[in-house]
Amino acid sequence: METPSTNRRIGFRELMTTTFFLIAIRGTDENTTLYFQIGGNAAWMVPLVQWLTFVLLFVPLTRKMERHGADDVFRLLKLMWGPTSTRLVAGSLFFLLLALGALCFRPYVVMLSVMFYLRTPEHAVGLVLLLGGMYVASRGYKAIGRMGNMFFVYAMFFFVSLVRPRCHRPRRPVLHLSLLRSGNPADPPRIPPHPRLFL
Amino acid sequence: MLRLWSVFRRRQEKQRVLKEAAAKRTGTPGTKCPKFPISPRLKVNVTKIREHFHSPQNLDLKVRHVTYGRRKAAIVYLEGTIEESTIDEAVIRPLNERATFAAGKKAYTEITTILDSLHLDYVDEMEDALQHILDGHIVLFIDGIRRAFAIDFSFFPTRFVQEPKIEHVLKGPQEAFVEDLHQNLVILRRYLRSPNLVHESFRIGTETRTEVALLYLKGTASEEFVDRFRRRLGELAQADFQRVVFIKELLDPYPKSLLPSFLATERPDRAAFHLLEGHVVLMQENFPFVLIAPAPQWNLLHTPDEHYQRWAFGNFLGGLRISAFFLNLLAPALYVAAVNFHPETIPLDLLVSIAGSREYVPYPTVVEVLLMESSFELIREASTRIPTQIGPTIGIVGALILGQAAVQAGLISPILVIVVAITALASFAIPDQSLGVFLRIMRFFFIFAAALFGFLGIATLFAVLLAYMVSHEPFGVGHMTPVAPYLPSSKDTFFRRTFWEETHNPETAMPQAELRLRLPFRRIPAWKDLRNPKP
Repeated sequence: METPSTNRRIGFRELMTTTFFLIAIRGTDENTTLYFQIGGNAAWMVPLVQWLTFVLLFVPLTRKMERHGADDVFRLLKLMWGPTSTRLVAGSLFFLLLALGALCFRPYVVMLSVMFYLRTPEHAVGLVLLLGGMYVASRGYKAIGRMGNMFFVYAMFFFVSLVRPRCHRPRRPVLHLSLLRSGNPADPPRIPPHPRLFL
Repeated sequence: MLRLWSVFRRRQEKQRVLKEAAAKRTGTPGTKCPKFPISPRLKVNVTKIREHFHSPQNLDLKVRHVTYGRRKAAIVYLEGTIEESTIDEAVIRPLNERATFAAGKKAYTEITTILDSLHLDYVDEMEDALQHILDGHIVLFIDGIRRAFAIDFSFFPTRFVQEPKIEHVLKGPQEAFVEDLHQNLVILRRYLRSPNLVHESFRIGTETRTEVALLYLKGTASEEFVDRFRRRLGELAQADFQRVVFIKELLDPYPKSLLPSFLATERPDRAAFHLLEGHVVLMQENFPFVLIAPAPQWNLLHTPDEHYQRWAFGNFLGGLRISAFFLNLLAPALYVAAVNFHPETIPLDLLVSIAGSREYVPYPTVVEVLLMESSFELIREASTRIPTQIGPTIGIVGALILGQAAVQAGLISPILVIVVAITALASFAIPDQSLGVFLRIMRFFFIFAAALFGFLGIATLFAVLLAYMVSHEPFGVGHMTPVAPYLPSSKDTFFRRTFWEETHNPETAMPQAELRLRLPFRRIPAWKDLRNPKP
């Protein structure tokens, strides 16, 4: 049944929110270091290029899926290229995403372990994040977009709230945003904010 | 050719045997049973009726022999289901007074004339006659006439309209639905005096023959949405159910889900307001609650008195309920996480106090919390089951005496009593019972997640729960609409606006009518404008 409330489409809000979080998350994990190593002073452009690439690929992909009547990418591939190619592509994607996940999860796991879970094995913390992420991903891109849309305003609010108090300190404000800091690897690492800041 | 014919015959025979078995099992001939025409002989008809109702063992079946002119006649009914006192005056006396007997078509005309003022229905087949008797009608058989006459004298005992037992409001209507479906319909008609309020009826269950009413506002509710329920109820009516306990489970697309798909209410005003927004209402016979679909999360959190109170009061209460939702879900889990994993989030003085209070408690925090939460759930269940007079006593005994004794015995810490008490109060503030049960169950999952991984566990489980909620779509309508996905609404999702500002129907129920408010003027005229009206 085609309904206005759940038209099974990824709307403008969902797309914008997910791409925003894509950039925001990239600015907080291990990728930032990579960007600076690769991009140097132009590191800030990397996420933007990433975002542009994503949108430019994603929008035609959804059109293609709609034209073929496919609910997901793999069904589209199966319709277009057949089952064997689909299996190959799915396998490659799985390994690529696993590698990306391992790369992106690591700083969060390390951060959580150092800050809160000193006695918990890092693998367990990583597994919880991975399982949670897997379930959310299994509900589909639509669900991710909707969740992001729900928290977009609040995320922005807390982002600004966290950045502003730190800006009052006699430091260069540029240093407080990992994406905007200098590309010098000799810079001291950021000190994570004390949890009391959240209260 | 002969072989084909024999196969066809065997198939026919098999179908006949199956139909007979179904008729024997259900007792009354249903749609699958062969129909018997009414016999012109009174004795045959009465015998068949007696056989079907297992008379004379079954004492409820009453057959009263009367005369219609020179012919014999019989009135058949089930004792207690009709107003017996009115039969003599309304049926038997006019029939006895008729001295002559008209034959053929004249008989029908004459019967119609005699019983004109009553709800008269012509019955040509025996199974229809049986259904009429079961529905509390009397059936009149006249010797020599191939047709019976059913008259509605149904009088099933029912309770009167009373105050709502679950959905109390301080200001607003103080009446609730009852078990009688037709009485409920009348109450609803009193709220919605509109010719567009359409009532469709379905009978489900071969033994119970439960009547289910589908109600919607034509021109407002989505035709496609209504048709979905109409088709489903039609399928259920054709199915061979022995009984129907509650149609909710039969209609629910996700019967095993923790999230409710319907909003069950006992308040007619609430049902009426939802009808006006394009929702569909389902009523079941012998059930004092009606079902409203679709039922997104925000509808489950709203109460009618938000709109009966002043704007500010209503919003204040709405805000309290939203905070109660999160307290109910997360308070014990946050306590466990903070004490076990993140003591740095607790101010030092309070941390020392908590540590001091837990000094003599021999269990880990999670065991303590689970013990207390389980006890509270037991108290709640016990107070629901026991008689009303003892209920408050059990609550006081459970909450005060048991809690105090547990603290003194060193089983739990005093601070935990406060946490559980706040959670309990928050749980009572949740207006919908199904949503309350959902929160109660999820609370235990959150406690386990917090015990294992602290705030990380809570955050991960919350993300999982949210992903489930935003992608849960009973009847094709998202559970979290109009927030996720975003939809135009009446802007009263979290906090309501004033009456004059809620101009649009929420698109959650896909209504045909977008506007709910059409004003000949731009806004409410103030008293100054009334004194000095502009030309």
